[in-house]
Amino acid sequence: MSPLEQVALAWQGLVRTARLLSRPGLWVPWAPLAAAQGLVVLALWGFAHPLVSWFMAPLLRGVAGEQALHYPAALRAMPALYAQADRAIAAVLAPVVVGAATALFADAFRDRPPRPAAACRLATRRAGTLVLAQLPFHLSAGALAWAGEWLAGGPHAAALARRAAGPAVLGGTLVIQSLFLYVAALVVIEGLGLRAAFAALPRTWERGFWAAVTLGAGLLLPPLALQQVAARSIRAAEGGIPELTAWLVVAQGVTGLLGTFVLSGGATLVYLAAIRRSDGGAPA
Amino acid sequence: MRSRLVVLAVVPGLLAGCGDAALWARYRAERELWQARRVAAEIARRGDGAGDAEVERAAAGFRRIRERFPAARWATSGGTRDGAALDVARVSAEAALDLARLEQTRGRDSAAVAFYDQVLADPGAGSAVALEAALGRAAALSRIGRADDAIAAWIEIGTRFVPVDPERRSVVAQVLEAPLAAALLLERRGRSARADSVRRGVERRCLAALESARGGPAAPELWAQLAASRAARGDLDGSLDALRQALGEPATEARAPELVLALGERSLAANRPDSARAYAAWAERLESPAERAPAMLLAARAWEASGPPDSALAAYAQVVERFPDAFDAGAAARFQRGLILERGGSWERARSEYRSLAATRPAHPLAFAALLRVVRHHAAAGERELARIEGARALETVERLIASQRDREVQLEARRARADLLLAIGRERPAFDALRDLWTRYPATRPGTAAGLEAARLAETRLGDLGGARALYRQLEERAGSTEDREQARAALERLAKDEG
Repeated sequence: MSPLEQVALAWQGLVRTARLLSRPGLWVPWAPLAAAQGLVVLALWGFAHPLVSWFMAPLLRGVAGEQALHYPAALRAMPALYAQADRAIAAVLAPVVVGAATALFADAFRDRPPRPAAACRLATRRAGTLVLAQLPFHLSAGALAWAGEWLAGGPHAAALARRAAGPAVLGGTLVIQSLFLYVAALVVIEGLGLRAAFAALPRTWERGFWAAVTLGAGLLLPPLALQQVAARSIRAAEGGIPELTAWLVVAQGVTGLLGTFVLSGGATLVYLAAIRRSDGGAPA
Repeated sequence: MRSRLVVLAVVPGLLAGCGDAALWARYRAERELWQARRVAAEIARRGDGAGDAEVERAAAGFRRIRERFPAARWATSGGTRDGAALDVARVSAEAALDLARLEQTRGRDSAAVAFYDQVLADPGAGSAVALEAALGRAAALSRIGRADDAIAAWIEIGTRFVPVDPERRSVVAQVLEAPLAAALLLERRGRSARADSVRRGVERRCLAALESARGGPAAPELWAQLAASRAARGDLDGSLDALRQALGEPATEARAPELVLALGERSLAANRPDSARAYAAWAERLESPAERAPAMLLAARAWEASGPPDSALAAYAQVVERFPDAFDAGAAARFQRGLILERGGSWERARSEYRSLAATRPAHPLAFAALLRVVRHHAAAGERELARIEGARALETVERLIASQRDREVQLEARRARADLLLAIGRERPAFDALRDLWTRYPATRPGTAAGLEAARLAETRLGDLGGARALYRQLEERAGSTEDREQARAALERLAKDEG
């Protein structure tokens, strides 16, 4: 499949997944992820309430310092704190959720009735493999982000490096994400183990790398736009509406969830249409 | 099922018991303070355009904090893990401070004093909040005419608060400046001995603080404050000695030019122009080329104090040439050149300096003074026609500034200059109107009150308008910014009543 065909297929995947957004059955595996993110937001927003302050206050003090326990500094620190918590959720819980969702999307694209309970059971059984299979992506993306911050923030950084760091990290993350995009499909649809899934990855790059890049790029735009708004909102918070920052974190969480839903669906469709169909089974 | 419900009901309660109630209270108090301050900031931004409803909304916010988080309760609750309870008490005190400020912006100083008193009585206010309250209270007392109470409040600030912040190891300048301001007021009221006693108290506190602060970052400022107090008391040798001590401190490097300049100023005040010139030269060497104007101006003043006029003229000319953009230094140099030339009988050259000043820095207070000197010179020399022509020209300049400038200070200076110019050319009725206009526009300021008194006297004596004079004196008795001015107005009213009787 040529790169152009892959790009076209990716857009088709995005459009067809978007049409599935209104099917409640497909949302079942996402509920725990949404609940976990919601709990994090609630705990950060209401950290001072006696119900949670016994563990949240020492945690925040340790991570962000004493000032983060005051209003409105707590709300200003919220985007960064949420991002840290979200990284942990993305590494531990999200792979299992994406695994279950992949199984459900595969059924939906094959016009089979969705079986959320079965998909969740399958993903839970393969939870270890799914988490470990996504781990290299999270570690590499984390290392890349750290390198970018080091490059842009250090006193040695040249102006050009500072300006280039952001786009470089973004591009690098997009490439790494594309390299690991089909790993959930390999584990869930093909039932491969960890080693076999990693071994099969290069074949997915041959047939679906450009589609993965297109899917990732298409879904990066809304969070990026939101980040711009978030940066402005922090300035607004200085002026008088600190709660705006917290609402933007909520909006970021919701957008992220929708994005991951569409990305999983799109990746499943591309996998089924381009990677699996070409030889009738898992890429060897 | 029932047991699950019991667990669901009991567990949150137990967990809540583990949490920190003070932390939760602090967070809510800080949030409410932030929200009320947002409304107050909007009121301050809109100035007179803010409505009573908005003010009431902000005040209600602050009052709610006082009611929900009483400072007395939180300051004494104790046993908290990280001082959060004390913070709640501090936030509560800050709300009272904001209430006082809000009352102040509405011109209700008596109500403001009551809130300031609340802050000072709050046990958990903290020294920074209490100091702000004490300063605000003293200023409000002064505005409502309770001068003796204001003086006592300023003096008390000097004894109640520590002059050196132990955490930052820096001088809290207001703690030393407040009693010095009280001493100045006492002196104006003819109580020089009491004023000197207050200043000596400040000096004792500086010396006591220096015992532990010597060699530290606060020492230069403490010496400088000691020097200022000694100078105000007339002890110029003692002041010079303190400034030399400040220069010897290790932390003085950044302030060295300022201290050397102060040494020069005090030397000049002590009638030692040679020393002043030496210090001016030293300060000049310490400063970067762009910052040398004040030192050169000091040298010029030292030449003026003792030396041939030509040396002073040359020194002032140097300031003008080297710092064409220095607003204050340039204006002062030109004005002083004009004065020296006028004194030496070179009127044409003096007038040229005054005109140059008015043309190059028309909004500077000295430019107005220069215009006035030209008109007064001709009037004093009996050259009535020349005085009238120069006066008309100067009035035109001043009217143009009043119409075009929005700066409050420039507006005030220009209106004052208009009144003075009209007086100088003998147009007394328009001068009276101009003075009354100043009083109406700036009633709470010293220049405004002075203009009001002047207008009333003009009406009483030169214009023979006793009704107009009485009306003005009554207004001044009610609304003048200082107690002395109110007393003057009252005395004038009594005199008028006696004359009538």
